[in-house]
Amino acid sequence: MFAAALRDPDGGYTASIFSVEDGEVSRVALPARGHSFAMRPGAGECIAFARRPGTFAVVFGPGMDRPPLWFAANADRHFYGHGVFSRDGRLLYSTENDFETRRGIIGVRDATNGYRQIDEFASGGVGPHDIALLGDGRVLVVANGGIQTHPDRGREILNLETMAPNLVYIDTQTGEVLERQELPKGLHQLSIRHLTVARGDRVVFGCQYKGPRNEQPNLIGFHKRGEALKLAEIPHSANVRLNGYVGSICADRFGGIVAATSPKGGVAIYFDVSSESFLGLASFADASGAARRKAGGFLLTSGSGRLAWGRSDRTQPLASALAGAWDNHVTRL
Amino acid sequence: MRYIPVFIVIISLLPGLARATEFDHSALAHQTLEQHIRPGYTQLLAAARGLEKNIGTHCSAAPGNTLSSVKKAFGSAVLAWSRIEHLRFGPIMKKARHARMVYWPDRKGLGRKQVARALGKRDASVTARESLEGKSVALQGLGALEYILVAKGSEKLSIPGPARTHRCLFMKAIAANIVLISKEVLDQWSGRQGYAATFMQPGANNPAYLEPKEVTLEIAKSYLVALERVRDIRIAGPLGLQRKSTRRKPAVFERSGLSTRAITANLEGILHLYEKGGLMEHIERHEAGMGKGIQYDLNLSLKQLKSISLPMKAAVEDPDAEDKLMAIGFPLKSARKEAARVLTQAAGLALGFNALDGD
Repeated sequence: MFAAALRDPDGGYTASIFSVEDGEVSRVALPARGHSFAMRPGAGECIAFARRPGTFAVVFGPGMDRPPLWFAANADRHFYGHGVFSRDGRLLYSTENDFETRRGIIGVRDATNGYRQIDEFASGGVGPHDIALLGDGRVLVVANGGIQTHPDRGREILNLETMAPNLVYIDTQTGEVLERQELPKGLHQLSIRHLTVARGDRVVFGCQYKGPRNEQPNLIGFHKRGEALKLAEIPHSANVRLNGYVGSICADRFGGIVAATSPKGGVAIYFDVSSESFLGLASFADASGAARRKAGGFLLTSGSGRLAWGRSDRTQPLASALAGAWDNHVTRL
Repeated sequence: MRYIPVFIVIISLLPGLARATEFDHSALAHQTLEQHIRPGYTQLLAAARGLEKNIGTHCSAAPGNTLSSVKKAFGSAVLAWSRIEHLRFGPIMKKARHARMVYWPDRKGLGRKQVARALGKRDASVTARESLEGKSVALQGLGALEYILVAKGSEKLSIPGPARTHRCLFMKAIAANIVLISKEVLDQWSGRQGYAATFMQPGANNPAYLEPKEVTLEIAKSYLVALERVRDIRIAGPLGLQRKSTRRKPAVFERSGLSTRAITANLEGILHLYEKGGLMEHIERHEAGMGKGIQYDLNLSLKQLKSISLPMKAAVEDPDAEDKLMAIGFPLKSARKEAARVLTQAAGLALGFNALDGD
């Protein structure tokens, strides 16, 4: 099963759990646009987060024997739309913005106690977005996009000239930043936004470029702890197709292949993890979510409401039981 | 040479290619620049200079009845800005100029607090444009000026003494700042250099637009996002109709009572972009009747807004005016959705759900 947010045909917003074969299993109406999901291990429930700068989150799922549970970001905080559970399913870590001090925050909530917030620590940068747990279950990796926003200014970038994105590793036991990696000088407007942990704890990240349009830095990067960030080598003609923007990134079930989507470019692009090499690219209009499929490859979703089975060499349309526009991400339950 | 005409005929017979060449991106850019962007910023600069002049006159004379002229000039500047506020690309987005013109919404009242503090301690650093420019954006623009002019303590502008002198210098610094921002922006859009060249010459070496249709996307986005903001923030906020909150939010320029007029000017500006800027003509060409249909919806909404004489705070408490404000939501939504649909098809724009506004 998968979870994704969508805009309904009537203009409302929904968080949905569905399977490709059987259609929708569970749904919750949202007060505004949703973004991504965090799956709670072993519980049959997940969290749908508000899209930034939203402040709501809702717990629901087929494993829950009670109505959906809502919780909100603390005052002076908003969510960035991403979060991840600890391996035992007890703690939820979410990326948040302390917008008065402009600090990125990781909020910590206790899932066994009504998702009460029990702690928070610094994300090690500005504008944390995607977050994941490494294989040891102890270290978090966070993409600090470097973009400063304030809810009063909507989604406007307030620090375009001074952006400083980074990739940060944090010890969940202490909240300590273990490692902080930045892109080379001259690429400070390359916002590191989404990431996935592939085989061997190799972090693969997708970026969005906020600099001049005629500069087209590569938008996919690889990182292994202790090493420098490395941007992938992408054929120029393929990189141009991404149109400066990667919306989602995901490793397949074996962790050996990564798919990334670009809604602005209307494409899905594939990489081999061990060789860090480009595998292929396929058109998929308003491509948004990518999630690993059990059968291999990826479930792709689009803003025009389509589903597809994406592999590096072919894209096969799938019938969608749901009407509406799929939002940015789809996550495997 | 004689093969060329045949080649052109074949190309024009291919339906897909014909459609792709039909939308004249360059003509739209040219028309928007000449008929909408340049006139809009020219009027803004004129209004800013009028404001500066009236403040100068008021402050150099003994306190008298010149304050009403300042308030009138302030109103003109607010309306000139509101008519061009929807342009959120190019020079106005550099050096935080857009936020420095007006810092709004201001949920926590930062502007009010900062201006009150600067006035209270007669902060010398807000009395010259050069030093003001380096301070908080909330101290620099029309919102700060509104507070000085009409909030509690504004009567000091009519009483000789150090408080009046300080207020006068602060107002002069703000007016000079607004004049400079308007001039810098207009300069960038004037002539053949600056941002006008960027806008008119998309290409592989262009820092903002690689292809002609990206300029069309910029224009279309301005129209679509502006309509959404007017409907879902400027009007739905004070009505308490926003999805996430039913609390009535303060309206823009509420303190000076200019709120409804400012929102009306927002819509006038959007209609101007649509009609004079050329979007209407292009939409009409691709779907006969639709260009005019959207124009009808925009005009209808504008007519309703203009018939409301109350400022927003009072309008949302008045059943008649409240009904009108709620009813406007429908044509505004339609004017946005239909334009997005036609432009997506006709100009080949990526206006998809996530392409237009992903994360």
